[in-house]
Amino acid sequence: MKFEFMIFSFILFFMSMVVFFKTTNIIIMLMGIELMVNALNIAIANLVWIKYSFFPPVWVMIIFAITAAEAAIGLALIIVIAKRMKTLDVKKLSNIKEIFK
Amino acid sequence: MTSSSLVRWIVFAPLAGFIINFLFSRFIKKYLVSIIASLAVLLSFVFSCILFFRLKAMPSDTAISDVVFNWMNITNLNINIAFVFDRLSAIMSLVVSGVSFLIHIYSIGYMDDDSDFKRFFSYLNLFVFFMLVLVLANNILLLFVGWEGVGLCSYLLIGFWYENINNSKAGKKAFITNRVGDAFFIAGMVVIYYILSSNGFYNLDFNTINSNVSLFYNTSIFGVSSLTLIAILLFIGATGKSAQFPLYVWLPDAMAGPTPVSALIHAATMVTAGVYLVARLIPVYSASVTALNFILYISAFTAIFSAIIAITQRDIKKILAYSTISQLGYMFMGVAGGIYIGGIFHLVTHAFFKALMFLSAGAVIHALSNEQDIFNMGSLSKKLKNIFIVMGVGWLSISGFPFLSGYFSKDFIIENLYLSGHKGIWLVAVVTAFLTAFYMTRMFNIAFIKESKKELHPHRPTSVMTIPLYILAILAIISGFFINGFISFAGVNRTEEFLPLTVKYTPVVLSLLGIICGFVLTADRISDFLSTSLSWLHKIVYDKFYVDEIYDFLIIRPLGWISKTTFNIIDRVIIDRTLVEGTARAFYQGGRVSAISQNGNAQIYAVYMLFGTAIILLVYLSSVPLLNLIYWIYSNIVFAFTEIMKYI
Repeated sequence: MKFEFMIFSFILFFMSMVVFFKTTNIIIMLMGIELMVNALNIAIANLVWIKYSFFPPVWVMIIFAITAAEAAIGLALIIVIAKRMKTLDVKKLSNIKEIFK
Repeated sequence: MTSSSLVRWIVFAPLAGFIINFLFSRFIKKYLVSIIASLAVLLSFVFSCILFFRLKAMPSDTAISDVVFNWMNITNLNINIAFVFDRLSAIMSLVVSGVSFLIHIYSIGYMDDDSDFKRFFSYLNLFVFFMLVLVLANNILLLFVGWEGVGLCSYLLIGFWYENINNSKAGKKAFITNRVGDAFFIAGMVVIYYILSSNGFYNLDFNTINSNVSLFYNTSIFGVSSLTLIAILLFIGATGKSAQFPLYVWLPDAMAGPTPVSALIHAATMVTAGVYLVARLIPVYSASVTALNFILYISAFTAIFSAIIAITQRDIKKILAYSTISQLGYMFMGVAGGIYIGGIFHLVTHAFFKALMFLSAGAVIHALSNEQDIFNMGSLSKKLKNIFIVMGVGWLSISGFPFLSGYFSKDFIIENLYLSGHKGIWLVAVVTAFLTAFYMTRMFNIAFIKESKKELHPHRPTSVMTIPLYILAILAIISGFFINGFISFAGVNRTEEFLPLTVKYTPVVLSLLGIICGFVLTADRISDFLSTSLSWLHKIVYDKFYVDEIYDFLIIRPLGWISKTTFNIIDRVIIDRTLVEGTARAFYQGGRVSAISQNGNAQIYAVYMLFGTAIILLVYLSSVPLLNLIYWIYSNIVFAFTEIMKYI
């Protein structure tokens, strides 16, 4: 376990979290989520230095797969929202529950 | 088929009839339903006859018993579904199935134009099933099953024409009054079980109870000998079912049901269940003088009280109902005073002649299109000659006219009361015999013999209704002559004792006097004079001594008030408003409050998630002791610091 990688992971995670909370653009929020997951992935990949541990690469691959799936769904949703609402601003999308009823 | 396994088919035949008629009545034609029902009862009558002759060939103390299956076997309680066919239940099952069969046949004609014909017959079969369970039960718990079952059927059949609210009210009254008695019955059973089980007897068989009377005799509960306690509790249970004094009020109202039901359930069979119970437990009762005296006083009072009420009634079925109560009093007197079999014999003859009278009354009511007031009848002797004759047989029989069945059975009871030394009770019984003859003659005279004030156009009953009447009339005439055979069949040794001639002939003379009085006092001028001069007395008696009103004032109204109050306070306010509606309202308001936070902004949701995670983390960490936590954070910071310093 290399500590510098850990620090890097933390920094990346918090940076992307700030991005997620501060932005109003829905695509950038999705990117923030992806980045958070990637930061997590780095932390997990870092565990590979532990002796006799061969699971972390597997986890990493699983998380990659999940992230890919989630990105596909998220992007599809974003396309639908953009088509229907003609906007990507989260603040203007607060009545989404009534529109998609 | 062996004798023992035949017993169960006496019981199960009507049950099979009920199941077929109740479940598949939709697919069966109307008359086929009645034929199935009648055949089912006929089958149990035939089985009873077969077993009766087999039993007759055996020694008198043997019984054919049939264990169907083990009902429950738990710690200290082992009850079988078992039937016993001994001398007493042989008599009862013959009477029940025989009279039931005749009444089934009669009902085919009586209920012909009723829209609920099929339902009626399925209920009747269910009733016969439960009644046979009652009389053939081997243990007191199974008897109680039948006891409750006949109560249920009574309720169903009293309220048979449920479109009229008064009928369903009468059914309800019968059921609830019976429940009061049943509560005492259960209490009696509990005492029996308590004493038997503490002595190592874990079944409630009648054999066990009757052969362990000394156990009851030697123990006492609440300072009362448990024998007396059991006997009195069970007798109070019997007063409910057999319409004795405090609990008789349901029987007159029960006449709201169809007349065959009144004849079958409320005259011939079900109401005699209490008499049967006392006779069944006669070793217990005869060991307790207190209980016997209790029964005698209650039943003698009931007999004379209801006979007095019957004098003034106008409704033909009400008169017969009060007469039934009075005759049930006789049966209890017969069972409790002297030789118990006298009561059973009166039960049998009463089943014949009272069923006969009820069915004749039903035929009259049917012929006059539901006219029940005797003062609206009259001169039926010409218009309905055959009904007049059979009703006359019933009338003479119940009045104790010599050499008809009622004469033998009633005389036997009265003589034994005298011999057992209860002179006061004997006097009451004799006076009741006089009153019985009187009110029955009054009814018969007004309804059948006297000229009618109105023009009546009765239509003749069909032969399906009259043939059972003829059979019952023959039985009512001849059954009295079998008294000696009956008593010896029941295994009771009767010793002829000398009676003073005055005592021996008093009942007969008084009965004949009653008949004469009945004719004389109902003559137009005399009855007018009497009703004007004694109008206050007439009113009190006609209103049944205001017993219903007293019950209403003492029990029903306070109970209603308590129920209403507790309903308003506990049910409405505490349970409904506070607990039920309150929970719903709390969740509703809570939902409204928390709905504010759900405003549709995705970023706010993310913040909630962040806070949620923080709270979970906090809770997790708070389970770690505080000093350890501080040390953990401190060491991490130090470690991070040193690591960072390495690279700088």
